[in-house]
Amino acid sequence: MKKIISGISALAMVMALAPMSAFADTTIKQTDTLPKTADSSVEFSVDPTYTVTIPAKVTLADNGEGIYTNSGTLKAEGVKLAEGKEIVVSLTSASKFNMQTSATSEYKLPYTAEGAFGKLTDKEAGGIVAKFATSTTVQNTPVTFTTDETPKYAGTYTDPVVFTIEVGNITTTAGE
Amino acid sequence: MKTNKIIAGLSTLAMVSALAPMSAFATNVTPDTDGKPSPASAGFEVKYDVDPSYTVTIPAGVDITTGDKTASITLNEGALLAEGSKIEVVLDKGAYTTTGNAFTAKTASGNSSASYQINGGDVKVGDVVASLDKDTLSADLTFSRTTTIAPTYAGTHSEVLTFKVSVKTS
Repeated sequence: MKKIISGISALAMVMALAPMSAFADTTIKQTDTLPKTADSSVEFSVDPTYTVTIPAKVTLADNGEGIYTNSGTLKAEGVKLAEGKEIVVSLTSASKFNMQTSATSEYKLPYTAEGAFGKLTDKEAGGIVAKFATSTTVQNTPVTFTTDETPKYAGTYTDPVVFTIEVGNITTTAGE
Repeated sequence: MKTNKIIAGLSTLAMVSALAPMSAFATNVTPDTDGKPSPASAGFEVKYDVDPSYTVTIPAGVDITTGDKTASITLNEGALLAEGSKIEVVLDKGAYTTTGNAFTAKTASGNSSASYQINGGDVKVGDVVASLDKDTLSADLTFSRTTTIAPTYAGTHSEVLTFKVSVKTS
């Protein structure tokens, strides 16, 4: 019996150009006392860059006690964000984290996801599973999916989940 | 017979208001013993000073986010300088770059630095970047990002450059 959770692969690059400051040219005339100095500004914006990779699917395996579990790894590399910003990855499930063998099957196999900040207890809203800060190294965060009970029926259970990637201000999440 | 001796002067127009005092050479012409005017001629000096007149424009700045940009330091058309004189513009300093040709821009917090160069690295702090006169009315400076210093963070990096303008006489 296979339990498959399919995700979304995401490759994101945000172009956030800061507006250029408004400068005025400096004019120096013969009436000015020389030497005279004038300031000029050189400005450029470094665009945020990052690649976040979400596993396409995670196949759960029996742990020997009737519970199925496995982990998928969220990977972030080349993360360069504006100072004070971080990438936040959230996980939601339209089924509220219940797998089925088919869309019409009555039986739903509940499961729980656990990311960097513990188990997602609010299955309706989902929650944050990973955060990635500016870093020159590759960052990996496992997300573990575990069924809450022993399946009642044989079959291949699946549930699509959605990983949402946002760039926000650095904050503290419960569990950090 | 006495002849009126009239020495005509010239009306002078000065381009600028600061006229130097004119020298006065009054000459009295009188008949000599032969009745001829003496002296037979007299000099008259016409003099005026033309003050320098010019406008040098230093560009406010450049944004090289999307690629190399060229900014020009200019001298106005019709500028008047003393013969042999030039307007000299020196790149005096940068807010973060005090020597050399590797320029550094920083974020507002100062926690992230990134590098750039001017005219392909040919310009360093202290260099004369413009020498302007009636024949050379502008000097271009091309700013380019470099990879010498990799920024720690994304965001706006900037540096204020200070140019010193003076008149040099050869």
